[in-house]
Amino acid sequence: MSLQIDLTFDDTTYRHYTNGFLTVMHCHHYMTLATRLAEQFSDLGGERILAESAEDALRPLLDDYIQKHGISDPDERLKIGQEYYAAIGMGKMAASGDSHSGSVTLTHSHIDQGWVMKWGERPTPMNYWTQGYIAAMFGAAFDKPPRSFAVEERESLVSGAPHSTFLVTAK
Amino acid sequence: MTVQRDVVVKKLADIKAVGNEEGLIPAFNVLVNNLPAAFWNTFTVRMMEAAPAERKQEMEDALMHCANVCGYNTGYGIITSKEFQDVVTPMVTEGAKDVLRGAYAVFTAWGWAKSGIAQIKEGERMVVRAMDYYEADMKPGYMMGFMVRGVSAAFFDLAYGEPYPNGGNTFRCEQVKGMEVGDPFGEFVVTRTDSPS
Amino acid sequence: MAENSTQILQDLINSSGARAAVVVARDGFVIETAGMLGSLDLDTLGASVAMLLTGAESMGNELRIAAFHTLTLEASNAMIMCTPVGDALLVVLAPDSKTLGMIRLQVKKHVPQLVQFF
Repeated sequence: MSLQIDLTFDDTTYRHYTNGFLTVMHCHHYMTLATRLAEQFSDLGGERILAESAEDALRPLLDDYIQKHGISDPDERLKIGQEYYAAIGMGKMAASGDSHSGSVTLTHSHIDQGWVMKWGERPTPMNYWTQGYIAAMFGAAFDKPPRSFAVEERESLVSGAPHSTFLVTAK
Repeated sequence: MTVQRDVVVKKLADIKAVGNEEGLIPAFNVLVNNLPAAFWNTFTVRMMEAAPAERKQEMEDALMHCANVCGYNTGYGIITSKEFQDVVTPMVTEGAKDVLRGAYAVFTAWGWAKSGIAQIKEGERMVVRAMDYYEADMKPGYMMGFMVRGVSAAFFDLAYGEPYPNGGNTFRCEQVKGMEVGDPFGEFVVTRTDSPS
Repeated sequence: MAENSTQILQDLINSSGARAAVVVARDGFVIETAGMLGSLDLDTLGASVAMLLTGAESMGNELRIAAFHTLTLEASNAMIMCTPVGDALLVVLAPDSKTLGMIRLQVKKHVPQLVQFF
C-alpha cells in the first residue's frame, strides 16, 4: 500500500494538520541549528534529548496510521515509516530488519544535505533526529515500547559518503 | 490601502508541503520540513529542563538563535518568493511596515503563529501579539515562545537592518506575555540590540 | 496610568455603557478585545474594519479632507464607533445609540491612554 497524506487547515486557529496531527513547517536552518544546539549542550545529553524527542513525537503518527489502516505486517509498517519520512520532507530511506536488528540507508537527507548547504561537510555523523525516527519506526513496526531499539549511525552523507547507514539493534 | 491580512491568509493558507521523489521539500531557497509541532515543543522543554539554573539563559539564547537564523534566511526567501510578490506586494503602500504586515500574515497563514503587529516605531521598536502559537501548547511554567521571538527579531532585521545577508544581529526580541503562562495572548517586543534592555 | 491596554479597554466599557471594544490593526489583525463579543467572528470583524478603513481613507483622499477621527455607524440594533488609536483603530460596539454621547466622551478620554500601546 502507499501512504495516504491528508493535509488540513483550521481556519480559526490557522493551524495545519497532517493526518490529524498538528504539524509545522520549518527550514533546514532551524533543524541543523537545533542539531548543533544539541551538540553544543552535549554535556547535558543534548544529542540523546534530540533523538528521544523525535522518537516520542513521531511514534504517535506512525501508530495512529498503522492502527487506522489496519496494517499488521511489520514489513508494510516499515514501508509506511519510510514513506512518512519522505512525506514530511526528511529524505529518502530504505529500511529492513526484524524485531532483533535491522539497517537503514538514506540516499537523501534533509538534515545532512541541509548541514552541508549551511556549513559544508564534517567528518562525523550528526543525524540524531533520524536515529530517533528510526527507533520510532522499528518500535511501531514490531509493537515495541519506546527505547526498545538502539540506533547507531555508521556512515553519513554529511561526511561525503554516498549514503548514510544506520544499524538498529534491539536493546 | 495597506496589506489586507485576511486576503493574504485566505490566498496562502492552502499550502501543501509534501516531500518530492527524493523526500525533500525545496522551497524559498531552503529545504523545508513539516514535522509535528510536538517534536519542537518536546525538544525545547526537555532541553530547558536539562539545563541547570546557571545555564538556563544560555539555553534560551541558543534556542532563540535557531529561530532567528531560520527567520532571517527563510523570511528573506518568503518575502522574495513568487507567492509573496503575487499576493502581498500589490498591497504594499507603506514600505517596510507593509512588508512586515505581509510577513506576519504569511507567518499566520502557514501555521507558525496567529500573530500580527500591535505597535511599530519604524527601525526602532515593534510589539507583536500572537493569539495562537504552537509553542503555547506546552505549559512548562515559564514563557517559551523562543521561535516567535527569534523570527520576530529576524523579520524586523529584514525590514530595517542591513540588506540581506549582511544583517541579522541588529535587533533582539523579548517575550513579555505568554499564553503558555496563562496570559490571554503572547506579546513580543523587538528592540535594537544596542539599546538598553 | 493604567498598567495595560486590557485594563483601559475594560474601563472604557464600564464607564461608557458600551458592550465591547476591539482594537484592530490597519491590516485587519485583531490586537485586543474586551467586553461581550458573544459568537462574533473576530477575524471577519478585523477584515471588515480594515476594508472600512481603506474605504474611508480613499474617500478622504478623493474629497481632499483631513484624516478622519471618528466614524460612526448607527443601525436599529447596533451602534459602532471607530476611532484611530496610534497606528490602529479602536472599535466600540453598543446595542444602540442611546449612550452615544457618553461613549464619545469616554473614547475621547481613553484614546490618549491607549495610544501608548498601539
